[in-house]
Amino acid sequence: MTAIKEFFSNAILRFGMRRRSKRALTLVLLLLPVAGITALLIVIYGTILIFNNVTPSDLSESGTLVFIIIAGIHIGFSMLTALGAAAGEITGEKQRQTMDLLVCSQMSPSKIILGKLTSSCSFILLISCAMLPLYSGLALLGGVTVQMLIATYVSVILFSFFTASVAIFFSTVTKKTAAAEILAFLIIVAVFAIWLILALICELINEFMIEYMSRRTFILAQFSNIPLFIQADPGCFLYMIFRLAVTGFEDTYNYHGFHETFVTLIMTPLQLILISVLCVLGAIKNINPQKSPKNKS
Amino acid sequence: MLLRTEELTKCYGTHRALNSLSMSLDNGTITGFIGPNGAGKTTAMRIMVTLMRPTSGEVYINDEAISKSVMDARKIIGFVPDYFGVYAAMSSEEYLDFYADTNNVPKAGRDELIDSLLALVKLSDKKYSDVNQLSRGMKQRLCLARALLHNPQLLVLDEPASGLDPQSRAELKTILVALRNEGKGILISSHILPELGEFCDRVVIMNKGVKVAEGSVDSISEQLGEKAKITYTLIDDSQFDDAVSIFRMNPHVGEIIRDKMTLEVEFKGDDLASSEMLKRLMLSDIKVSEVSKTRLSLEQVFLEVIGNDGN
Repeated sequence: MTAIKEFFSNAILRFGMRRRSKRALTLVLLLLPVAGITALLIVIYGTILIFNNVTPSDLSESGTLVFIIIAGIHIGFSMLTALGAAAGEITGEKQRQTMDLLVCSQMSPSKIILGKLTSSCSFILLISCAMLPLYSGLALLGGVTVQMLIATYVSVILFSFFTASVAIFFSTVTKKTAAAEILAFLIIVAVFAIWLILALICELINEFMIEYMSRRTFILAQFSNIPLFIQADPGCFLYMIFRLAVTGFEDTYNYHGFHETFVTLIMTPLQLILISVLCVLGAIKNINPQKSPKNKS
Repeated sequence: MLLRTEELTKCYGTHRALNSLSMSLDNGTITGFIGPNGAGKTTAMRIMVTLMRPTSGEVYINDEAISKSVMDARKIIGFVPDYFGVYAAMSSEEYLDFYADTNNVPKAGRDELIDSLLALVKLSDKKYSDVNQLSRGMKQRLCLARALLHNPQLLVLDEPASGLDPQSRAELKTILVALRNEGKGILISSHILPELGEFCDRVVIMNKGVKVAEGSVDSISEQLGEKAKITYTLIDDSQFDDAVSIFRMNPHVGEIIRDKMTLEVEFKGDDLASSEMLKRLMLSDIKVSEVSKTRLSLEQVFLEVIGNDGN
């Protein structure tokens, strides 16, 4: 309890949250879900009015589909917001010439970075809270479960934290926010793409093996549904977690088996958390003048 | 000793920005840190305030090595850099409140502390003004108030007077003298030497990363072998020849110039030697109405020390 209290008493976190809440953009972001709800209600009632023979089952199916689309937009939007906010945290301090004042204050580098990271993610918390009425509106269609909501919020937290960590790391190594944003974006795209590329290479090898040796490669032989490397891809994690939420554990397990289900659900978050932790530690090191390699001769 | 550096060296690749700087600073003193551009003053100051790590050497605050406890050292140091960083749309009060937070200043009594610091730097009427709207002199004073929030023993000011008008400089000087009288140790770098010479107890002169002199202006001019000027105003002009012959007997005396009722004597000796000379005049019944001794100014000392190497 004391640790949580101490964490939220972080001066930089409180300052960042206060400043963000003052911006006009906050109001716009909070109004977006309201606009979404209005649009959704128009679609629902318009559909019912136009097609009188719409069954509850049809609506439920549409509800699931619309939920997944909106959840996908929510996750993507949260990632972009986290990237934009975190990339400007340290570069902004450098440009305002306030970085030295923070570093030589009694805030440790870890407190500065964690405060900045949390404050940049606080926007996402705000958006996520504002999205709740929209998701509640979707429940009118049916086909929306609590598990789907949990899957969405777990994904938002995981992917936003990952994006913000990568962005804040690049914010400590570059002087301009735009540079930090581009570098962080490239790394995030690379994390998504690297597994697809590896899977593609494996698939090509597999094709070659089937063509010329009439058998599959050893590593691909045992997996029928998802190629090996794609299982570690963050995109695959999203697929798996939503499948789990929509069709239930038993169905997912029966279809994908133990290996695919658990590799995707455990390895991918671990991978993202590991990259995030390394980025945060790197950022802490970079802003510490007593450890920063920039100052070494 | 409040601040002491030992063989402080900083290299950037093959360039040695700071070379074996050893200096000290005590409580209740103002030390001027002077030198031409590129002399290594800012580098040394950034190392002292823990914003940079030296290549070799150590800084001691109250005889504790700062590399061993950086966070403890930061409690004792207040730093005013040569720039003024602010966040957009922030009042002076919010500015100080935020930095009070980052320096762990307790919430209880913080409002009073902010009020008293704003009063000290004469900005009470600007408490709710946007920081960005303040003049440069006001910003500089606000920055000084920020550095004082956690009541540091040591204040390090990098070019605080640059760009200030004479009135703002005079106000800054008054505040610094008051802080010295409270017992704080102050290290100040500035290129406005005449003003620095007025209130600095000691100076450290740097050139090309090397300390070339340290001490009071008088002691440095003595070390340099520079002559002071002693002016004697006599009452009776018939005694001028006797006075001159007494002066000539003293080995420290150089050129003597007579101007109406005064004799301007170039003198190389210390204070004891000059008092001996005055005593001899008295014993010879030469009536002196006024005596004044003029040392070299800080500017003259600086130019003498730096020679032709400075910028």
